Amino acid sequence: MCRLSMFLMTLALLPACDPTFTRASDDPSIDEAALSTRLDRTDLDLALDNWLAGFEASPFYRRATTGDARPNIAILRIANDTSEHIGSALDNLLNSAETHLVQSERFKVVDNTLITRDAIMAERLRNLGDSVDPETIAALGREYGIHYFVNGRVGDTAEKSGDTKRVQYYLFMRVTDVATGIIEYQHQIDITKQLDD
Amino acid sequence: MSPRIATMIRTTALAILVVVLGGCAATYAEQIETAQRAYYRGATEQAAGVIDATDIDSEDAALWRLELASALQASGDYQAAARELVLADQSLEILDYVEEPVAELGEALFSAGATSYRASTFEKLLINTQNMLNFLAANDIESAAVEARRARMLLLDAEVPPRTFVGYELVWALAGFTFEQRQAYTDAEDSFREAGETSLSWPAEHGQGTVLVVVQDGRAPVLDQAVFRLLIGGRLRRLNLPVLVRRPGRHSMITVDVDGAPHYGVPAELDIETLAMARYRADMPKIIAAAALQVVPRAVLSDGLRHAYQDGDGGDAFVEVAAVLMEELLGEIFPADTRSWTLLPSRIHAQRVNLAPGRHVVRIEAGGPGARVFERSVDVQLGQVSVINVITSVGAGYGDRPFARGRDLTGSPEAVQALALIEDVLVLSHLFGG
Repeated sequence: MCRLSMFLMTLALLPACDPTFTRASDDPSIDEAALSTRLDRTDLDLALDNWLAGFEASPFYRRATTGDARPNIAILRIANDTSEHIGSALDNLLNSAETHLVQSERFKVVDNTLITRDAIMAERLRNLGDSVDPETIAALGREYGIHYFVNGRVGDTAEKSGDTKRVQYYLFMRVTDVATGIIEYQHQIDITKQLDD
Repeated sequence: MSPRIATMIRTTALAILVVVLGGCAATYAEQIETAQRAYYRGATEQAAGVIDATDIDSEDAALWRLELASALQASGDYQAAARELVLADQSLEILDYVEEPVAELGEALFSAGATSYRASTFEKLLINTQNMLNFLAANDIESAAVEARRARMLLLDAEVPPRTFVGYELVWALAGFTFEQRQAYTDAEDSFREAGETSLSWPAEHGQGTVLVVVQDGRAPVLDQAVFRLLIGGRLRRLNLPVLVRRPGRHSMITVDVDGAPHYGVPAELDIETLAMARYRADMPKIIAAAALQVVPRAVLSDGLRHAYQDGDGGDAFVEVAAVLMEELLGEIFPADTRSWTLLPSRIHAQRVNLAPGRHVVRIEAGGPGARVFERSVDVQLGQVSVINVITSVGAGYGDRPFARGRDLTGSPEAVQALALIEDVLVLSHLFGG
């Protein structure tokens, strides 16, 4: 019994473990591990690379960027139709796409925050899903001089069996011509994440 | 005094010291009580502040988030409430009473807060349901739809037994309502079909807006510890058992008037109390088995003390007292885990009211004992959804059921109920040779 008491006292007196912090620049491998079934930076980087490669090789890209006049383009939003709260990850993906388009100097990129600052337009776009109604498309051209906009949708199939959970994401990103409402380019990116408990 | 008795007294005194030191830490029920008092008094922002400021154990972090979310929702800060629930949902692991081995269940139920709080699938479903409501009220339909999909996944995967206990109509109906707002009409139709006939599926006509009236009535049952003494091997052994305790404050009837006229909708309901009690009864054999397993090491230790020091030199009475004391003390050190999400309602009632745009007055009466009337003014906008969320326990007072650590429930209604369940299990076990 004395041993039990001593054991309990010893446990209470054990020093607490200090947390350790690691910088990715010192150990790049910390960015690689998947820690959840949500989308992380590695997924987003792969998705962006995939989309840009397809976009820049498309006939639309060649057609739109031929000539001196750079067309105006805006990055709107990607609708989250999944069972995971990945809205901020999707915003990051769009910001990365916007950065790339700005740096390519092939398009004039209309600041997305100009559009979202307009309460009526923001409300129109917020809960639309992946479809944008003709009135909104016309307003984008009329009020912001936009020729094309990028938007998309991500859906998922989430399954669970025992201690394993798998989420398969289907990400669609498209470019729409404001003047005609025609989808000029669309690309699907598949990402699968699995959690084993 | 013989050296042997002196050693025994020292050993017992050390055990007492351990218990006294352990007793210095406040239990979860004690820690949450200040916030509960503020919440039920109607000071919901203060309740949220108290929860936010409490220095909590990391093992309880997810549970505190649930309580904080309830307080934030009651104070009208739906976005902050939603954020807390999303974080809690991500971090909470599931404790599956059916699949979990008895030993591990025992570790979870009798670790006295030493392990991270784990939620049942039912609690997970309640998180998604509450967050659908938070996001709808915050007009974030996209995120509400994420919660609807998560709830649907739990129900369809049969992680929450949908066919064993009927009663998930509100979850389906609220999911259908959310999908409809999201313009995901196929998903909406499927969910409404599962919900059965409720007014949440009644679409607004051309030129109307929608008011979602939600009434969260009463207080969900909470866990408390019952202490029983069973005669095993000729000695009384202490059995700590978590018992689910009903709380007062539930009303018998909810009625809704709009602009002075009765509204005859078909409400959707989620009876949390009934479902939780049903689950508790169903899980009872496993809980008893886990509780009984905790008796064994205590009995071995106290019997070990007896065998080590009983020598017939006249000190046996001291040894017996010390052994009994030791077993009681060990029972105190390892009480049943009574942590639970305490700020939940006993039931959730929802109705859809489609109205012409403009200002309307909605009057909600929670009838029966302790009847209360709530009047809300709402600006209905064309094609938009407004949410009225009434929580009847807020402002109703704390009530008269304080919780005390290690309360001996022998003879109380909860103990009688638990004892009846134990006897049922023992009778069944005897009948089927278990």
